[in-house]
Order: sequence, then C-alpha cells, then structure tokens
Amino acid sequence: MNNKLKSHNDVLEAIATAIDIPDYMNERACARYQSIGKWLDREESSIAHLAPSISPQGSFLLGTVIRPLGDTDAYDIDLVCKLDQTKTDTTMKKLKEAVGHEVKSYAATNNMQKEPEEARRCWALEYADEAQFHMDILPAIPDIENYRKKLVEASANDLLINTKIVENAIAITDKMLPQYSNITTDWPISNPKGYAAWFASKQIDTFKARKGLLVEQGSYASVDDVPDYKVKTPLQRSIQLLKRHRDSMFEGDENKPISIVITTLAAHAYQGEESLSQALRSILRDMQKFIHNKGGVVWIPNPVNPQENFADKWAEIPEKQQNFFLWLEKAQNHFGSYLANSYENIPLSLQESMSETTIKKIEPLISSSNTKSVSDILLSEVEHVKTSGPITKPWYG
Amino acid sequence: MVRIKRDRLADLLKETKDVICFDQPDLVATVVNSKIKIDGVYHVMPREQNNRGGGSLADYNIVIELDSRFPNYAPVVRELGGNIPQTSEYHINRDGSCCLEVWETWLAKSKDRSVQSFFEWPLRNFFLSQSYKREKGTFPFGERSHGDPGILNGYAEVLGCEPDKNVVLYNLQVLLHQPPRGHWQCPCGSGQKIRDCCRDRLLELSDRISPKLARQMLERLNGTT
Repeated sequence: MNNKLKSHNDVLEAIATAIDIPDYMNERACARYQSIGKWLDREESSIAHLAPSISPQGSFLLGTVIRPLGDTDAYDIDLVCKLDQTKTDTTMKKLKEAVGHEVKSYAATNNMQKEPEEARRCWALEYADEAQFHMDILPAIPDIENYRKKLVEASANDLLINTKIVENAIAITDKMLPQYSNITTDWPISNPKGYAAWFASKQIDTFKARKGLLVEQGSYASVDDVPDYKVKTPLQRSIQLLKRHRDSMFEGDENKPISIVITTLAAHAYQGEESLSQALRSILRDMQKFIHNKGGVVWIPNPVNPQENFADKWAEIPEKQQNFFLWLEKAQNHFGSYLANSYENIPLSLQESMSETTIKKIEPLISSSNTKSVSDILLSEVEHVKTSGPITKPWYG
Repeated sequence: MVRIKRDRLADLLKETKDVICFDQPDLVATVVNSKIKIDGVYHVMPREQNNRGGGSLADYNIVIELDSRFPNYAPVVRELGGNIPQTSEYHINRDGSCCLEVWETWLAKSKDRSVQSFFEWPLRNFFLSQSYKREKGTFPFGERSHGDPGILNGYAEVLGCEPDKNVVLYNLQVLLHQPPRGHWQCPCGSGQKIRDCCRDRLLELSDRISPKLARQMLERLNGTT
C-alpha cells in the first residue's frame, strides 16, 4: 500500500477523513433538500408566488459536518427556506405556517412516517429511512435594511462595506416572542450565508490551493468544476476533530460547548497553516484569546453581527462556561500529547475521544517509524534560536 | 501579605498550567510547599517544519520549582532521567540543579518574562543545547565561564561594556536611576557627561534593566570575588 501514513499530519488527516460525512451521504443530503426546494416551488404550491428558495446553513454549508457518534444516530442538516416577502406583508406566525403547510404536504406526499414537528424557530423533518437525516427548516425573509442598521449601531464599518455579508441578511421567526402574530419590524435577525462568507475568508488561500491541487492531479478540468465539499482545508479538518472530541466527551449533555463557538474561535485562531497538525497547534493554543470580556460579560461575538453573543447562555448557565474550558483543557492535552510524541502511537486518551472504531481503521495504515536522524534538525533548530530569539548560555555557579 | 502571596501562587499556577497544557502535555504542575512544582517529561519540540513526521526531538525527565517571586527568582530545574552527566562540564551544579544561565542576564535580555517565555527560551535553549552537545560535542550558544567570572561576563554582555568589575559596577550604578542622570560621567569611559555621550543607549538599557534589577545585579556582583 503506497498511501501509508508517515507523520502526525497524515494520521490526523486520516482520522478527520474517517469522521467526515461520506461523499455519497453528502450528495444524498443535497438531493433531499433540493427535492424539498422543488416541492415548495412547484406550480400548485401555496407559496410558489413568493419564490421560495432552500439553502443549507451551519456545518453543512461550512463543510464541517461530522458523522454522528452512534451508528444509528442521524445527521443534522440545517436549512433556510427564504420567501420573497417583507415585514409589512406578513407576520412571523403567517410565514412559519405558510412554510409549515408545504413542508407537511411534502412529508405526506413522500410517505414520511413522522409529521414535521414545529420547533421554536423551525420545522423539524425526520427521515426515518436509510438516509438518517434530521432536517431543520428555518423560515426566513430578506432583511438587508434592518441588518445594515444594526451594523451602523455597532460601528461595524468593515462588515457594512462587505456586500457578500450584507446582502444575505435574513429575518427569522420565533414563536416565543410576544410580537409573533403582529405586523412588526421587530424580527430576530440572522445571517448564515454572511457567516459562511466570513468563514470562507479565513481559509481562502488554502481552499483555492487545494482545489488547484485536484485540478493538477487531473481529477477536474478547472478549479470552478471542483465542488466545495470535495475540498477540506486544515481549518475545516481541525474543527471536525474538535467537534468529535467534544461529542465523545459530552455525548448527549445539553450543556456541551456548541459548534458555532468552537467554529468561530477556531476560524479566528487559524493562521492559514498548510498542514493540519500545524493548524491544530495554532487553534488549540490561541482559540481562547478570542473570548472577550464586555463589561464583565463573557462575549464571543458573532463575527457578522457583533451585537450577538454566541456565549449568551454562559451567564445564565455557568455549567456551559465551565464545560467549555474543561473541554478545551482536555482537547489541548489529548492532541498536545499526541503531537509531542511519536506519530506512530496514538495515545489512549485521543483514541477514546476519536472513537476506537475510527482509530482501528487508521492504525494499520500507519507506517513504522521513520528513523531519520535528528542531527540535521538540531542544527536548524539552533539556527532558528540564533536568528529569532534571545540565546542563553549555560553557566556553573 | 500572606494573602497576596497565596493569590500570586494561584495566578502563577494557572499561568503555568496554561503554558504546559498543550505544549508540554506530559508535565504536571502542582503547588508543593508554597512553590509551583512542575514534574514529568519535558519534550524538546521542533519549531521549524521537518521531514521526521513530527514529535519531539528529545525527551528529558525533569522537575522544575517556581518560586512565587518568579521571575525575580530563578526557577530551579533538575534533570532526573540520567540523560545529562551530572558534572560541571554539562552545567549541572553541585546540588544537581541545571544551570540554565546567569539568571539576571536573561531578565535583562528579555522584555517578556512570563512563564511562557521562560519555557520558550532559557528552558528550551538549555535542553536543546544538551541534545546538541550529545550529537555534536559542543554547546551551540556558547558557555559562560564557571563561577564569578561567568557572572561578570554575563553582566558585561548585556550592558555592552568591558568585562571589568569596576566598569560593570559603575554601569549598574548609573542604571539605579531611571532615567540615568545626564550630568554623571558616561560609563563608556569617554570622559564626557552622559547627556553628551551615550544617553540614548543608556535610556534603552534602562528600559530593560529597571533600577530594581540593577540593584539585584549590583548586590550579586558585589558579593563576588
């Protein structure tokens, strides 16, 4: 076998690939949501005149989906269903119900066993067949003006001039709000596509380079032909590894660190490293530096909406904050321990957190130690100290 | 006073844990007898990309004691695994501690005196040097003379002056005042006043060597023969 794993980086890449959503599953998920999209937009649809469009959000859009821990668990796919309406045309309730009506008829027509369930902000659709998907469909309308206003209030000038971010802002519904049934301008705001644009900007060079590599290898004719999901940058891979580590540490605990917090902090800390092992180093060392303190409140700003705090629940439920730091410490220790020792031996702590079945698949592919002498490396490390830092000279007193 | 010391120790423990958690995962920090004890395997990690597949360049079984007055007090480092000969030639003191550097010269050289910086430079430099010595037979960053001359040489090096005890002492006296007094005679020996001679160089120096550190160095040097 010529694709043997010869470094920490190779091994970590192999683990991340093993926990990634397989391509066929990814394609199946796309087909499913496109089929919902077509249903909503069919001629007889009660919302066809409102030009409904369905698009992914969250980890599916960011390329950071991971396999669920249990074999029978489902993938969560978050979708936005945007209708071409304004806040003067409709209420949150009407919008939610209009989308719900069509989602229900879709489920019935496709003989889905469970009727879609209404959640606070979305409709939850469960595929009980072999596909194993939970799809959350979030009804939304465009909300560029209100979003602009919020950015002006927050003096977020760099965001205001970024059309990729501003033009994708949406207003969403929330049935817990008192104004839920009223015509009002006061809707919750969101911007999943804007967030994805910010995320993409953090890895733009490595993303392009990796697409270029696939073209060079002859897999595709041009960079534009390479589907986004075929490429995984060290940032996306790092996030997948960290999410898996979180999942196995907390399993079903509802106070576990949330993905958007891990993703945002990791993207901030990522410095464009080309290798996964280097990226993981920067991220694990630096991610907590991007947690702010705003007048005594722990604040992890949404990078495309600085007034939104991704850690807003931490004050109310201190366990969430404790869990985050507990998790970070463990993740630092487990990955750090692997990176400090030979790439051949995956420490037990990391094996457990990545799941043993995953590791069993990888282990036979690890090539035995590469016995290159450290002599030359010592030389270059010494030169590095001489040029970049204060040298120190040993003494005897 | 006791309270302040305890808080300082707790802060130092947290700082230490943050430093070792990822970078030195096989070290453990605890408080023992009002000091931070850091115990376990220290990995000399490469900073540059290399083709060995990753992992440490060498491992040393060590214990470090950090005084609550760190960085003013030098940490005590011991190698326990028998990988360094316990002799002066390898810079191991009679009491078994590793002699990383004449401590004040490190303080004078480095603006960043955090635990992180200690791990990154003096500690790593020492063990990197030991690995290098074993491979190539020499210490790559040089060595200080043993005993008092080493102190004098180290101080002269950071002050940028002759390794003459009186000259070094005068330089340190100048640095007891911040800023250095302009009408004093310049320590470079030109015979001019500081304000007309090495004023800028001395201002820069006093930025790194505070009056407190200058006093510490002065007292240590005065105690030498």
